[in-house]
Amino acid sequence: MIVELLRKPKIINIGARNFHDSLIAQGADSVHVDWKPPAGGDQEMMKLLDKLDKL
Amino acid sequence: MGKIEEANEKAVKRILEAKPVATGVKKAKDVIPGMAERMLLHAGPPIEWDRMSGPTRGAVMGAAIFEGWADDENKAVKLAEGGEITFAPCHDHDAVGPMAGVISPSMSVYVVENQEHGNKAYCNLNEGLGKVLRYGAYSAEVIEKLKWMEKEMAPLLTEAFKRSGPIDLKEIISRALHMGDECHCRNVATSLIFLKTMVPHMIETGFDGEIISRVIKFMGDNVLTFLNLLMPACKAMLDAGHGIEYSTIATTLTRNGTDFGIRVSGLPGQWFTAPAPTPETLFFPGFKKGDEGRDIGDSAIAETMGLGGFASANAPAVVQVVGGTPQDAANYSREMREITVTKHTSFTMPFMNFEGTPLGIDIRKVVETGILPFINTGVAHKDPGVGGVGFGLVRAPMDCFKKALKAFAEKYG
Repeated sequence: MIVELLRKPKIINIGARNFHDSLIAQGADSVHVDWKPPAGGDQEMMKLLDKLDKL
Repeated sequence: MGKIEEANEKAVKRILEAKPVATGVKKAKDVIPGMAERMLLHAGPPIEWDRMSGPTRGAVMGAAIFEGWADDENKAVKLAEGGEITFAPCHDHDAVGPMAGVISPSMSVYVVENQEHGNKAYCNLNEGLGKVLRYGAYSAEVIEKLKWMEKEMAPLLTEAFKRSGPIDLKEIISRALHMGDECHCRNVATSLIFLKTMVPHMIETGFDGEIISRVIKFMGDNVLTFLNLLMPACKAMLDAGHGIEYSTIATTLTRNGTDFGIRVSGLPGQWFTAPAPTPETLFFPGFKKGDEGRDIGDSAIAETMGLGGFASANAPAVVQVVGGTPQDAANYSREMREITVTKHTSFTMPFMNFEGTPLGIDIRKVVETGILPFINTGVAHKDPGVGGVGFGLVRAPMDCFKKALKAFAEKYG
């Protein structure tokens, strides 16, 4: 199992796609997960969404 | 289940249960609630003359000439500037209009009834593509065509509807979705099914054969004939889900070429607006980038109902306008699942294994995910008097949804 980890890594990239694209360009094995913070990180909207979740 | 989920379930249940049927063609002033003399209805959220986009101004000028309020465009502009014309959104009068969406008192409109809940919706008759009023053109040929529509087309349709009885619009839409239509920019199948349905009744009217022939040719040549029935059908269905306490479902998405506006079920009587974006456009021959106006028309009611851009998987040819592939088209439909609460039970997509189209845009999901409603649309020239310049793709602006969410939290939070 540990030996497996030392071979070519399999990468899961979460968030910024540039990292995934760079890895692919270098021949790495990467899967991209399209994730963004809720409401794009807008604190006011995140608070409102939380508040409405409790209704 | 939370109060919002419960309310949203109720809203979409009513939208799904709605049964829109076309029952006739009548004069706007005789049927549209609150339609007054010297009043023009327009697409999108409320707007006054000084902020109106070029195509909306052009359509206002043309409508004033059509009504006989002004002899030419200069006099029409003076009337509008002088406050002698009252403007109101179609949506606030149970109506919808494509592009500039200008409906004047003497224009004929389709009458659509929701047989399940009793509400009605109205829309003018489609004039075809190119140099037409709804795209802001107002030249003599535009007015002449509108007058011909009133003289021959509307009376024939009025009489034909008396013989056909109510036409089931939901059934036409369901069938057309299996024939390559996404039912916004592509209404080829819907238009042909509707025309085929009406032709025998047109002949039964006993009207002069040449009139019948001209009307059939006009409607048959126009691939958007049904758009003006699809839109009130969608409005009649969505209005059934409007005004439900605690519901976060958007029941209207619309634009006037200046502002993009939305209405939310749990916030009746309120508009939430942001600047209208500019669509990515495939231009008709003779037009180029920079000619296009900003996003315009009530026709985004199709997307609000899970059609058009939301049903992109059905009509890859529409996505091709900006170099997209069939896979992109399917991806747009998949993406819209992320911001909706259910799938339509009657409107399905063959290329998505007959999955229902994404229905019930939840403003919370739009704000949370950052995924914006995807819209297929016609594009008008930015200046008055020119007309249509192409077809395009566009996303609704986020600010409408953020403003609506804020208002919702203030009311219910």
